[in-house]
Amino acid sequence: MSTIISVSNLKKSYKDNEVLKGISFDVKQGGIFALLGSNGAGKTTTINILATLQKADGGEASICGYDCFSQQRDVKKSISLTGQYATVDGSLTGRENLKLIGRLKHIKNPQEKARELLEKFNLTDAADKPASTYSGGMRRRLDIAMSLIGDPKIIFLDEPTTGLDPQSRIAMWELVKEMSSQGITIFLTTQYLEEVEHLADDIAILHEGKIVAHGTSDELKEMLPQGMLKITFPCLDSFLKAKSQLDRYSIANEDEKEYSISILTSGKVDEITNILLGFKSNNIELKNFEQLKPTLEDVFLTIIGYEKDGGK
Amino acid sequence: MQNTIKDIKTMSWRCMLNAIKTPDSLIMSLVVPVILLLVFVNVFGGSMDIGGYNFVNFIIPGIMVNCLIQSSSSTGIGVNKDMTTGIVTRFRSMDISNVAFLAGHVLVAFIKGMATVAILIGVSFLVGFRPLADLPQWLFIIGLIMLFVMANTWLAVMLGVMMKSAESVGGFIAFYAVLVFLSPGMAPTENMPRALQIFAENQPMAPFITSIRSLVNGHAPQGDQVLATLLWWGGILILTFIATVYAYKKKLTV
Ligand SMILES: Nc1ncnc2c1ncn2[C@@H]1O[C@H](COP(=O)(O)OP(=O)(O)OP(=O)(O)O)[C@@H](O)[C@H]1O
Ligand SMILES: [Mg+2]
Repeated sequence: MSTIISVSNLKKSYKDNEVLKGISFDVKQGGIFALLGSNGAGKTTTINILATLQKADGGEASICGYDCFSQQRDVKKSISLTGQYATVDGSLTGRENLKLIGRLKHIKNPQEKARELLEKFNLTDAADKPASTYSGGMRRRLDIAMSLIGDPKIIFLDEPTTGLDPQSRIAMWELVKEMSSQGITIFLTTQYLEEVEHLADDIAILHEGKIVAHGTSDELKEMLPQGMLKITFPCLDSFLKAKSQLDRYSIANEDEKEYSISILTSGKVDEITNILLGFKSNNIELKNFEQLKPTLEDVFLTIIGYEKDGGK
Repeated sequence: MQNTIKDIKTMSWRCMLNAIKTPDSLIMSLVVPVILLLVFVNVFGGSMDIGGYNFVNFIIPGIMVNCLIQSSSSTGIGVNKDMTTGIVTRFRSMDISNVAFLAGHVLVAFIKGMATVAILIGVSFLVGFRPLADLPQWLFIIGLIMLFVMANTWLAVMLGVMMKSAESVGGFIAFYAVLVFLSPGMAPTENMPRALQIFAENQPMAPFITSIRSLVNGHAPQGDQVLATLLWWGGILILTFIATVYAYKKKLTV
């Protein structure tokens, strides 16, 4: 598959705040690409630069072979942007919003296109109500329907599922997959590890202004911890003893008042058994232990640890 | 070029829909001036010495100024909301000329302003407005009002683009609308304290009000008042236009 977005050494600062410290990645045509990062990582900034809304301080970026800085009009014609905060006009109805974009894209029959999209996105009942009265999920669907007008090659979705209930989130995943199956390249950002696992063909993790990992879901999984173990001790003494015994594991969290400690593990039964047996043979008492799912923060932790160790 | 004209049409269509859907802003911009008109006519109408004019003929230019500024408030707030939320992000990612967005707002605001004046004049006939102007004088009046509306529209759009929040835009315009009380619009300036009188007679609303008042009453306006009106409001129009376009471009290239 050919490359449709190419980013190299992209830099952006707001005054003293260095948000992007030279990021590079390529996006292949036709797939679902996800940029994963926590709050303030610079996801929106990256999308805005690619969608020609913001200027970068340095580096290069191109979309469909057009330069994002000097050929902005050609770039704009190839893309659609669904921003993080609803990019719809709240006082217009769903139908009017779609007609508005149809007319601005100079398509032949905006009215007909609006009708077709309302149907496809299950918005026909609410078509003539103001978009400001829509639920979060409906507004997102309208927003994405608007992005589909004018046959863009790439659709940018900035955190399409943030703030949606679990059901709407799964419906959104289906929608994204369907758009992708029609050959549109999807560039989405998210804070949820679970989301990229379900959805993305290709994942880049943005952390502290750098791409710290990039690969397919399977490739990344090999780097990620598969489990997290939270162990609680009855007293400070066992807590401290246990801590020194666990020093070869990445510690995700510890609480000296609660005498609890969370470590990242491979998730394999053998490993957990070994840890517990280790406590037993050193006479360290346990109060409780539980297996948790790693969060995005834990993933970062391992990856950053991984980088520091020079890739163990 | 052809596309730019299409886009301006589309953007105006959008602003027009917004204006029709929220008629409260049009109504609000009429309510205050009409109440003012009624209060002035009924409470002060008989008692104020205004040099032989029909009282409504005297007060109408001042009320009109107040009304037009109120009506520009919704434009400024609308532009500000567009700039700070939602849809403009999408517009900016599309291949649309920058002019179209501003032009849509300005065209609709201008139409809204002229419609507001027409309604206000209609209402004022009910309370005793008896203009003495002939046709050329009416054309002159309409021309001056068009200039005034255009200048205030760009002023409101400029505030909408530049200011941080819709509240500050609304607050600023409400304050500005009150300045008509410190002009020859609502009462003769002779009775004001000296310092206020100097301000009232020389602020930009003053020559506009005086010129309209002469024309409405069938007099030829004084040349210096007309010239001052053209200079003040033509100047404000040009300056706010340049400042708006500059600030808009700057806001868009972060
Ligand atoms: N216009 C701006 N002026 C100054 N700082 C900004 C501006 N926009 C973003 N920032 C800062 O840049 C950093 C990255 O912001 P960005 O919005 O790209 O993050 P994000 O990954 O999209 O986060 P979120 O998940 O919260 O949407 C943040 O620290 C933010 O405070
Ligand atoms: Mg963001």
